[in-house]
Amino acid sequence: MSRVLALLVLIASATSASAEELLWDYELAYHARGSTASSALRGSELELGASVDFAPHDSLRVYGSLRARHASGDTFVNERDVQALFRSDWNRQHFFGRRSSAELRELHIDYRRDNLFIRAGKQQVAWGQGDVFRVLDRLTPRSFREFVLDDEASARIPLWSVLAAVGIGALDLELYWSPDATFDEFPLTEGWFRPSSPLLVPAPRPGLPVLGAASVSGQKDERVNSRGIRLGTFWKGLDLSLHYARKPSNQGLLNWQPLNSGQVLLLEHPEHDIVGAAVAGAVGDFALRMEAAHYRTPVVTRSQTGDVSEFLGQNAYLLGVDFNGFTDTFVSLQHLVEDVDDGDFEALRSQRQQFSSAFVEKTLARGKIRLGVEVVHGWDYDDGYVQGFFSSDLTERVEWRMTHTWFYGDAIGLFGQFADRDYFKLSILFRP
Amino acid sequence: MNPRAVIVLLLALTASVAGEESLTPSAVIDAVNARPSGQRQARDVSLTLTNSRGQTREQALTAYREDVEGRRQTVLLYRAPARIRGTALLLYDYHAQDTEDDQWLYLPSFRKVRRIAGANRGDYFLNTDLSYDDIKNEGRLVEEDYAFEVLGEDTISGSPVIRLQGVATAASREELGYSRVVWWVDPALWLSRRIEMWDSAGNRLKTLENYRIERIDDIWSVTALRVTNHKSGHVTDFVVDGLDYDADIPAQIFQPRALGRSR
Repeated sequence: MSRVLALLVLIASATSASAEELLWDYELAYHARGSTASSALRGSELELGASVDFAPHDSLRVYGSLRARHASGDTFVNERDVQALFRSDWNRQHFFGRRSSAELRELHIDYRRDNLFIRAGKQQVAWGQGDVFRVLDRLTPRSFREFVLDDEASARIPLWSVLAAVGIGALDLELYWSPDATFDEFPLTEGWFRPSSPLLVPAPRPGLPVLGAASVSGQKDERVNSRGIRLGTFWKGLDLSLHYARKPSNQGLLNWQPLNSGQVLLLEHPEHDIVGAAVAGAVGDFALRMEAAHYRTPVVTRSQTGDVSEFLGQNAYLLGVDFNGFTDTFVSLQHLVEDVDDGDFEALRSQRQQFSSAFVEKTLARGKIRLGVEVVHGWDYDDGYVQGFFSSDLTERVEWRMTHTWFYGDAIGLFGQFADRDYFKLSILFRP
Repeated sequence: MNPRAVIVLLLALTASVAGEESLTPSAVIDAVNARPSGQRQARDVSLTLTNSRGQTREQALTAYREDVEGRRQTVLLYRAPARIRGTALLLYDYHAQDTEDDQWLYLPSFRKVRRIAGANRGDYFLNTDLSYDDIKNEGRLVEEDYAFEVLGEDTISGSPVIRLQGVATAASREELGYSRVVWWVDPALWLSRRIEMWDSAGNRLKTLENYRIERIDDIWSVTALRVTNHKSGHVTDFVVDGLDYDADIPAQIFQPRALGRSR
């Protein structure tokens, strides 16, 4: 019903807009992918992205985007089968057979009048100052289908939500509400990037058989809402913001539950509070970014009956430095500390986890060629990944892009669990 | 009448009575810098970037600019091509010389407003052939950067002009990347019709031609210009449409967080 309503809104708004106000685009991409470690990842995918943007009235704007895919195989994850675990009834992809899918990515109406701005519909909202690491950026969940993506916006799963912003003098107040019970989506039972680290997935209980591929069941409360408030200002050269949200955990708790004669993984997304602050400023050639937050996070602890995933309080701090001192070169460094603040800490992970990231990008030929590298390193298990990328405009409308990601380190680690598999993707993109 | 307009009128009268040869560099600089440019403006800009092989790329953006107490604030919203649509840049250019500019960038692929470090004055502005300093100054002349000299008179497209040369100081030569600049200033408008720049090694670097100048809302405005980089062979064409000095621009548009709401 909601999909029909969304389509009607889009058509009604588009027909009332004049041609001058209407902008539409599409992008056609062909991705060939593989791994030097295994032929299992070899395959290709055709992807069509289309968007429409129009203003039926001076104070109104409508934006919608769709994404359709046709893959040569179920390499990453059988999204059709797992999406019921992660997505609300209104936020599902549509599948045509096993290899083709279509998804309404975004559809929102913007209303702007004086200092008031309201955006209602399917949208993604990003908080905080960090990249890669999510300290405050927890309102919109992500798909970990490809685990590491070069485009954050396409990895997020937009939610049906309302964002209202009002300017009060130098203050910017944002209010957020979403009834959409959709969470981080990842391949739990099969797929190239299926998590295996005991830090993420507790070991099964001894003596009870795991009930095969259908070993995961979800416990989702569709009535749970997300709400948040953000207060920001620009003061003496600094961007300052305070954040509060109450919402279900995106990552979710995984625990083995007895079922019939075996056991299944049960996925839950308990509600929690996120309280935090962010600050950013610039000094000379450097931009500094900081954010800190307290929230609850799933942590696997060891008990007499087996591993148990618990929801524990965590303080996280992120410091980032960006440098763009020489023309067309951008360097970004970040360090993240995550401290579980539970007094009786008996988890498998370190009480304090630390991660660092480095990103270097160089553009050549006035932006026609882009190349760079991103390194993320976890200090506790000496694991991480290195991603190199290169892209070039073949013509004004055609771009080709190549990315290759290598994982390394201890198999216990978040990244080290994929150390035996790398991933490369060659894409050709056409835009009108 | 606007006091700046009075200054411009007086200087113009002085020039026509006394003859251009008696003009001092300071008089030309004061007249150029006193030229009204509007307290606020909205405009659509089409850019054509042409490389030395004749390949072109088109970009389109909408720009809003407003002078408020202590600073000039500018927002650029990219409309085309599709790959960069939604990209937005906000600049706070402070009047106080010792205060660094503040800049923010919104990239649709991140959906986040990023604080960015102030660019070096000589850096090329977003792949065009103009530098950040060229863009910021909008034709105004900065006395601290050059030792100025009036070279004489000339004619461009039938309009008499004054040739004003600036030899860069040691500090600005390094910062701006120019050793010398010559402005062809039209004393009837106090606008440069042409600007030539030489790089720090003394080689001819760029030519800027303001080839379409229109009177809009009583303000002489450049609505088409071409920048040719003689070293790289790259050319940037700017064409301005819908220039409006009385635009009703919501104050919120100049707030950093609003960049992400502008698409």
